[in-house]
Amino acid sequence: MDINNFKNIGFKIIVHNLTSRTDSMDFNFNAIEEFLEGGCILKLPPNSCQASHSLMLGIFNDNTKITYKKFPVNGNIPEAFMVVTGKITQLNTQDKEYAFYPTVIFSQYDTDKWNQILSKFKNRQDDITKLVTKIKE
Amino acid sequence: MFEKGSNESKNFIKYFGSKKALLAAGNSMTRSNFKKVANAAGVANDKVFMANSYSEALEVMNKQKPEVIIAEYQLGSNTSLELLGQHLKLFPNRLNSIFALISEKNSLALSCLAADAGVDAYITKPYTYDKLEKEFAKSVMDKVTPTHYLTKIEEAKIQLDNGNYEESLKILTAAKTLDPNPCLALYYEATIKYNQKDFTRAIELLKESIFHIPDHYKSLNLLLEIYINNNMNKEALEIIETLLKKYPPNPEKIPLYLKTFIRGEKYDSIIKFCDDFANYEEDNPHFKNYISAGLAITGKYFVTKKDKEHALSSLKKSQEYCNNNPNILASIANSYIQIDEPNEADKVLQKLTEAGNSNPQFLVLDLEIRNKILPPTETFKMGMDLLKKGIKDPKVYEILIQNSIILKRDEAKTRELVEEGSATHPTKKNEFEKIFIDATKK
Repeated sequence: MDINNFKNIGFKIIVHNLTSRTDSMDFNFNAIEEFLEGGCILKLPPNSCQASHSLMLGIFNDNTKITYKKFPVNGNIPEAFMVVTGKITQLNTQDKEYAFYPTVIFSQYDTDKWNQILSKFKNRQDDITKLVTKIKE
Repeated sequence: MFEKGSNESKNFIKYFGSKKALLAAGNSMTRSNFKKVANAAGVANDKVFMANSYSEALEVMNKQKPEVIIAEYQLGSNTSLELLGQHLKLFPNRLNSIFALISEKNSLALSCLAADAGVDAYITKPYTYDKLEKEFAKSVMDKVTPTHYLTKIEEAKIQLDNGNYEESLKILTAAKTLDPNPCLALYYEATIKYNQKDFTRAIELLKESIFHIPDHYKSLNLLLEIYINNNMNKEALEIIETLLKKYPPNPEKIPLYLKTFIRGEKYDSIIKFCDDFANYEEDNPHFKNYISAGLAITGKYFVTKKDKEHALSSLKKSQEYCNNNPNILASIANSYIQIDEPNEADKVLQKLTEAGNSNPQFLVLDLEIRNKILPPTETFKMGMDLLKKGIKDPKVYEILIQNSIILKRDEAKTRELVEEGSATHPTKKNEFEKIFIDATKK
């Protein structure tokens, strides 16, 4: 039994709010909720941001062992898979007691690396769809 | 989802237009995405029901009986796979019902488990909305426009589930002519033969099925079940090897695979499982349970092989992951006793007591552990108390006879225990006599 079959793929995220100068550092809470063209919808702790705020995201491979208490100054994070800067264009606070869901459109990011993230999830989805189809046949 | 007026769009509206949909997700944004998908597929607005928790979803499902469910995998502390079980009962005809699972967890093992349980779609988060729609449409296409063959299969399945085997067989015979690779028809025919205990014919049919498609999942799994139940270990191992080569393992099958490895003396596979999983960190409680059961089995095996190092690493992780499952704890405690680790066994038993387990099986185990660590007078008293409570397990008699002799009680009284034990468990008479004679000699 290959143990890799039991592992999820994903990324870990830390966030620095460039406008309010606050950090959201909880790897276990922060997440990408949905991919968008040149951006994403994030899940962040309640009250961590507002519409039109600018954010800096540190995105790490999910097997990273590094943890940070504060977002590194100037986004200098060599251990990160990529660092992204973007602006919140919309903020969903319908579940405000649990989480905020900001729509972030990226202004500075490495498109190749972002595409690698998209591909990683797309490939996993394709594998799963193939598997489900095969098991049903 | 499709261009307005296109054939696909018409088919989807025809299929979904009359159906109700339950959309279950913890957050409102995900629910509104699900609603967009349901509407795009053709479900009318007034037939859409939302739920933000497992209990709410269950309530809506039982009240509204929605044919379509789109649900997040994790709903609070429950998973929507529990909903799926109910949905399958509510709608045995799966051509008219849909269950789509959306999950942040994207391991291949979980998707295998979900597909095995009967989900139609497994869509992982994060997605682009476009991808969510496309994956949903792709996954349900075979139900929206089913082939004649699939329609027949579904009819046959319903007859089979209702025990109308002859009617089901008639439909399956017709179905076999409708597809060049009629694996599902052969699989369901084999299921009927298996239920009728005609194992030879069932095996023939399944072999015919895997002649058409060598890795046909359902056929391989039924073949495995038949081989295991008929103690055909070599054949069972071959099937497991094929399954593991072609598919990620369904975690629910870990204990079954390991038991087969043990019967087939596949020592390398057993050690590999122990080495991999004893050091593995898993956060899915569903998986933990099966990993724990698997490690309890390997632990027990290593005990019999006197491989104490592997036994201990298996048992410790099994204990950590078992979520106080009484059967697993009992098995672990038993293994600890056998490798002479009464203190570890005692810790396990404390967990059992905390979990409020005072059933006879655990009380007997407790006696076994105390027998290793307490003076004979106390163990003897405990054993006699169990007999008074009506717990007359053979192990209780064994321990009482041994301790009665150690305590140099009147030989006639020890003999009474042997007689009583033999009367209660006639098949154990020789064992009780042997304990008595051996101990008396000492």
